[in-house]
Amino acid sequence: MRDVVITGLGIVTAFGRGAEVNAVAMHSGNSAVSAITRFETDGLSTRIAASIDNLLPPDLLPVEMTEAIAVLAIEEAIAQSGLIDDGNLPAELVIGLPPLQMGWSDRFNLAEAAKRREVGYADLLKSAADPEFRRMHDRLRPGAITERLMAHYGIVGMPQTITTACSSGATAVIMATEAIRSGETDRVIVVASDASLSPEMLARFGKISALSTRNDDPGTASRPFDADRDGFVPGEGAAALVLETRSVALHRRASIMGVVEGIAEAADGYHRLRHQPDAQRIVDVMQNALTDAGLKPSDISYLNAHGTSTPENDRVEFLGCKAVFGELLPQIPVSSIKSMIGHTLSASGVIEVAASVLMLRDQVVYPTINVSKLDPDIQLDVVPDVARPAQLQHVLSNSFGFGGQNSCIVIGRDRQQD
Amino acid sequence: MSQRKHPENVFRNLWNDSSAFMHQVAVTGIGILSCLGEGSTAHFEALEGGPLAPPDVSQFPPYAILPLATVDLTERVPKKSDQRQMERWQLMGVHAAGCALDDAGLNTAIQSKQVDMNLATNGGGREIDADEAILREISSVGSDLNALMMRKMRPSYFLSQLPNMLAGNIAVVHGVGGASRTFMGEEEAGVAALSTAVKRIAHGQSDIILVGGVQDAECVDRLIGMVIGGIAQSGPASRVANADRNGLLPGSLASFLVLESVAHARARNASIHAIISGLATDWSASEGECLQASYSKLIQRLSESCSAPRILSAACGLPARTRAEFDALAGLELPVSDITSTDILGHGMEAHFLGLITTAICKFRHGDASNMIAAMVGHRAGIAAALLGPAE
Repeated sequence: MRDVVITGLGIVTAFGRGAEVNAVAMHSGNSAVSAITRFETDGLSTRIAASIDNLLPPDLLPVEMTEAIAVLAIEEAIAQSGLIDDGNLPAELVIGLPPLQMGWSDRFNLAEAAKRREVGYADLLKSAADPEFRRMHDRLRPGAITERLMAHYGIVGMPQTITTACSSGATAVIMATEAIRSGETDRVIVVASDASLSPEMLARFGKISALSTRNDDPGTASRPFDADRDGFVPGEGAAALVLETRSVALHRRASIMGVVEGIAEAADGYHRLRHQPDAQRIVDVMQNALTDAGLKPSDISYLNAHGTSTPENDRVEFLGCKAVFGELLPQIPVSSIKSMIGHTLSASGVIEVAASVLMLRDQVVYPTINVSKLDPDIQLDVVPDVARPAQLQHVLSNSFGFGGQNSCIVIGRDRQQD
Repeated sequence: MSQRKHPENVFRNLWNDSSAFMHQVAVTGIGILSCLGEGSTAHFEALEGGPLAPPDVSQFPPYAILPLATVDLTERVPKKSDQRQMERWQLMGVHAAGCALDDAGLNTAIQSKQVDMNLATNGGGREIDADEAILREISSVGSDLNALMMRKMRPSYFLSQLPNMLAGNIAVVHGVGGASRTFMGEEEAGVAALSTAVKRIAHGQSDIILVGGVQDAECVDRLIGMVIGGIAQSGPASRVANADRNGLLPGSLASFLVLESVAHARARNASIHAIISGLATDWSASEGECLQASYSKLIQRLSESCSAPRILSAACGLPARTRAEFDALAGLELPVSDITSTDILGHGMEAHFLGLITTAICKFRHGDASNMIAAMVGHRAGIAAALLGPAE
């Protein structure tokens, strides 16, 4: 089987643009969460987020921001990999995106064009025929972002636009890895991006009590594994990776930043929003990723948790870790960077693989911040508050999503890096 | 790899050299639900010249759609608690997925647990009542909108908006428990769902995959998107080739296939409906003569490896693209079916390519064992074709 190596990465989070900016901020244990100022939040139960406000014009729509930060991440990854961005990029594209729908401003515009009171969907349908609204069309097509990226970079082949909720980024990495392993392609640009933060998104996640409501103290709201955690804090971000076969990377003298050693997925049919209570599918996916990597639990030197800061996720994820690692678990540092950058949803899987690569490079574990009192039901070394130097060889990164999505990726330090 | 892929390399996704692969890919189950109802018989008969469903312009005038035939969508979702969690597009998908799993002889959760899933859908749908109630009260974004959303929107509705929640529901109801992937992006979603499934099985990365796509054409917000794009059929609609066609005629469709390696199918004594022995895609093909040339070439390359395949097209119905597709087909020395799958099912968007393939498989299911190429020009971009043949 062909080795899949990482030769470039790019990260955009609320900390800013660039892998180094993010490495420094996460190493320092900062929080990127703040009160939302981009739009009116009165009337919402959650009014905080780790949003990318300072990077882009504030009037961009979520779909436009999602595309813009995807481009920033891809450009960094390509530059780092040493490939030349001349509009003829010799790679395929796998992209993880959130589902993006028409927004309320568009809906109100259509309603206004109907020029009558008591507007309903029949009126919106009538207004929609006005060519004035034609420019909205690309915003309503999830494939439009993929098409523009393909055209911009001159990417050929069959693009894959993936959405598996909060596991989308991880699924994208897994699909790219499979395509390279099989020999279908030698190189893939994997990107996942999510700037879907909007009042409706906050209202909807709020109504299923998934979000933290610690609006008065944003910096401490995302507190994975803490006894007083009350939900996740939405984050925005994007990350891109250049994945290629080892031989292609070595042939062009690219430097290898990490190796995708193991991949696994396992759907959980127990419930649409919750894991099987005994964490069986989390156990399965972690064990299958280890098997795929040809590793034993004792080979893992760090676990990058999904760790959302919801009461449910963190408890069940711990049960899964306990079942897989048993008595080894107390010796394995486990942290969640979501404590710092919030939950970047569809982007989180790639951001966390990228962060894991940086931790492997710098031989350090980023902390989980805001754990002032560890949940008594969770016995983990969560690396509280302060980054910790560590000898890292193989790390494991979990991503779970609504809809029973479970993904696990093992990333290793390359022998070339020693 | 370091060289730019030139047009002739667009066949990099071509998969017709079985010697390069570990496994042959078999279709062992189909489930189809459309304007013609459920199951392969009605669709097979339509292919053979039987009756088609009449488009409806009364529901969303002046736009035409092909609504779902009357089917009891709760039959395969017996639990009320499950039904309540799903919008219609999900019920359609869960139903058709159940049909496909049954057809493949996988009718218990234990048998389904190792099955992977590749789905194509845009999900979505809106809570129409809540949206309209909000539109009646306010006309701009801001705190009033926030408060109204918090008040009017149902919590459970969140679930029916996520595209991957179809996969979630199939996992819950049918116990499908392998790798679960959901693709977005119009026709491209269905092509990616099928082609990645075929490749994974061919390369031995998966034994068995449930592949499916769903569109509910009776979702007004989806139609609004098409109308904004200027691509919806306005006024009465007949077949895609006819002069009255000015756009896409969306059809309600749930189209599912069980794909597995021939070895896996034989080991469990499953009957094989057909073999997918080639697959070609080109997502860079654009317009006009270049599009026609790429499309002809794609089909010719697939046809080289078998004898006189018959072509079934899924031409979209947009006049220029449909003309380009038919001109390309007329220039090939191959027999072409005089009806398209689009004439039978309408346009299925994310489910469109899978609707084409499933319709073609209906023919094999009913004993017609000759080679077929199922081919499609996307309504905006992309071309794709699959070579289907009988089990040996």
